[in-house]
Amino acid sequence: MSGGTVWCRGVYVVMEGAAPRYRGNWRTCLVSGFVQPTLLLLALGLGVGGLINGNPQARGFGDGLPYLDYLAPAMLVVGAVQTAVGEAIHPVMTGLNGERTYQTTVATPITPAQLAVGHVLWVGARIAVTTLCTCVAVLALTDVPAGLALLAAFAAFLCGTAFATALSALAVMTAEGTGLITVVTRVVILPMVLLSGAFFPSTLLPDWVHPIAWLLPVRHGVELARGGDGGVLTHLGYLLAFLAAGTALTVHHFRRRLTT
Amino acid sequence: MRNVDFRMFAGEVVGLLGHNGAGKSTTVRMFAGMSRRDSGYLHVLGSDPDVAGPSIRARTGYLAQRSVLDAELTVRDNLEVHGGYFGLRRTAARKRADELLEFAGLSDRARARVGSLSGGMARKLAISRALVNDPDLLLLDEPASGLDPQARQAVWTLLGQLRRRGVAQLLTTHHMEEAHALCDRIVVLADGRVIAEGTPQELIDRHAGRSMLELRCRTGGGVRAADRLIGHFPGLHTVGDHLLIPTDDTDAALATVRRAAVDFEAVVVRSARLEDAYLALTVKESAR
Repeated sequence: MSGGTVWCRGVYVVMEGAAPRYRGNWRTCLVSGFVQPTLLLLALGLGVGGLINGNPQARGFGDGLPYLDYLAPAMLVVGAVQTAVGEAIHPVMTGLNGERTYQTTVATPITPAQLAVGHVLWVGARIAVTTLCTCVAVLALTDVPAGLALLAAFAAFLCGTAFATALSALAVMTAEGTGLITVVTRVVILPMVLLSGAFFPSTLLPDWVHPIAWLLPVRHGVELARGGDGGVLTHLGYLLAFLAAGTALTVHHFRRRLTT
Repeated sequence: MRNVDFRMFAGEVVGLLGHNGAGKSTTVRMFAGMSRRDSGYLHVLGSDPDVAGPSIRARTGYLAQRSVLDAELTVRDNLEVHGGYFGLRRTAARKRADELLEFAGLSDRARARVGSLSGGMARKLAISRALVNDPDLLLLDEPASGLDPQARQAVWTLLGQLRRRGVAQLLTTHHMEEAHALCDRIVVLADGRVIAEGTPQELIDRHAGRSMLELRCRTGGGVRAADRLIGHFPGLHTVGDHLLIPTDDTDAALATVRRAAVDFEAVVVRSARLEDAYLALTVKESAR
C-alpha cells in the first residue's frame, strides 16, 4: 500500500473504532435524529405557523410561504448544528481528559493528525445520518419540494460538519478544564441560531447585528438551505473555507496536545 | 533528561527505577516517539522514534500509567478496536481478541462493560490490549501500581509468561519487589539521568552489601543514634526511627554498634534487598 492509502486507512479505522459506542444507544440516536426534529418542526411550524398564517397582515411573511415550509429547510441546519454540539465535544473530552483514550490510540501507528481527521469525519457521518432522517420527516410533513429538501440537507451537513471542526478544536484547546466549552454550548449556541435567520428573516434584525450575523456559519447554512437567494457560491465558499480552516486548526491542536 | 545512556537487547526485561519526576515515564514515551527529544541519539527496533514513530509503534505495545480503557466499550470491543489501529482486519482482530481474552483469563467477561471490571481485571485487560499486535517490545509504565496483592501477583504472572516467550519489556516501577521479580536489568534514574545500572543482584552487591543490620530505636532516638554511627558506617540511612546499616560482616557491625553505646530497642539482621540498594543510591544522590 502507498503512503496515502495507509494514511487514509488509518483515518478509516479511527472512524470504525468510534462505531461500537453507538451499538448500545442507536435508539437514542434515532430519537435525536428523527423524533426530536419532527416534534420541533410540528410544534413550531404548525403551532407558531398557525398564529402567523392566521394573521392576514402577516401573510406576506417569508415570501408568502406557509411558515412550516419556510421553517423546514432551516430546521435541517439547526438540527445538524445540534448534532455537531452533541457529537464533537464529548469524545474529545473523554479522549484527552476523562479516560484519556487518545493517549492509547496515539501509542499505536495512528498519528494525532489521523485521529483528528477520523474524529471530524465520524462526526460528519453522524450529522449526515441525522440530517437524512430529518430530511425524510421534512418531505413527509411539509410541501417543501424534494430538490430543495435535498439541497437543504446538503447545506445542513456541510454547515454542521464545518461547525463541528470549530467545536472540536475548541474542545482540545479547553480540555484542561477551563470550562470555556460549557460556556460556549450553553450561552453561544442559542443566540447564534436565533441570529441565523432560521426562525425569521434576518432582514428583521437591527442593522448593527447584520455584520455579526454574517460571520456565523449557521447563517450561511440557513441561507444556502433556502436556496441561496443568488448567493449560493458565497455561502458555499464561506462554509467550505470554514470547514478547511476548522479541520486544520483541529489537526494542529490534536498534534500539539498529543505529542510532547 | 540528560546523560541517559543505556541499551536493551532483544527479549530482555529492563526496569526503570526512580522517584516521581525522575524521567521514567518520559523515557518510555520517548521510546514510542510520543515525547520528542531536543537532542541526543535514540534508536528503537532499528529506527529513530522521532522520525519513524508509526512504524516503531506498529511493533511495540504501550501500557500507560493509568489503565486508559474505553469505558464506553465492552471488554472485547476494547481489544478489537485497538487491533484495528494496528491494521488488523475484522476477522483477524476478533481471533486475536479471543486469544488475548483467554491469556488474561477474561473470556467469560468478553461482553461485560469495562466499568464493571475490578482493578486487577482492568489492568490485565489493558496489558492484553498492549499485546494485540504481538509486539517485539512492550513499554509498561507502572504495570502493577494501585493493585491489591492478589491482582499484582496475577499481573506479575502475566508479565513473567511474556518474558519467557521472549518479549522485550521496558517497565517503570516504584515497586522494588516487582523490579527484582521481573527484570533482568535495572536502570536507576534521578533528575533525568542514569545514576546506576546492573542486574538486581549486582545493584544489591554494589550499593547495599551482603546484609542489612536494622536497628529500631526508641521514639525520637533515631537521629541521635545515626549521628553516633554515621562515622563508622558511611552507607547508613534512617527511615523514621529505624536505622539501616549495610554491611558484609554483621557480627563486626553489631560489635561496633554496641561499642558506640547506641540506645536501641531491637535489632534485625537480614539479607540486603533491592530496596536497600535503591535507598542507598537515591539518598546519596539527594545529598549531592
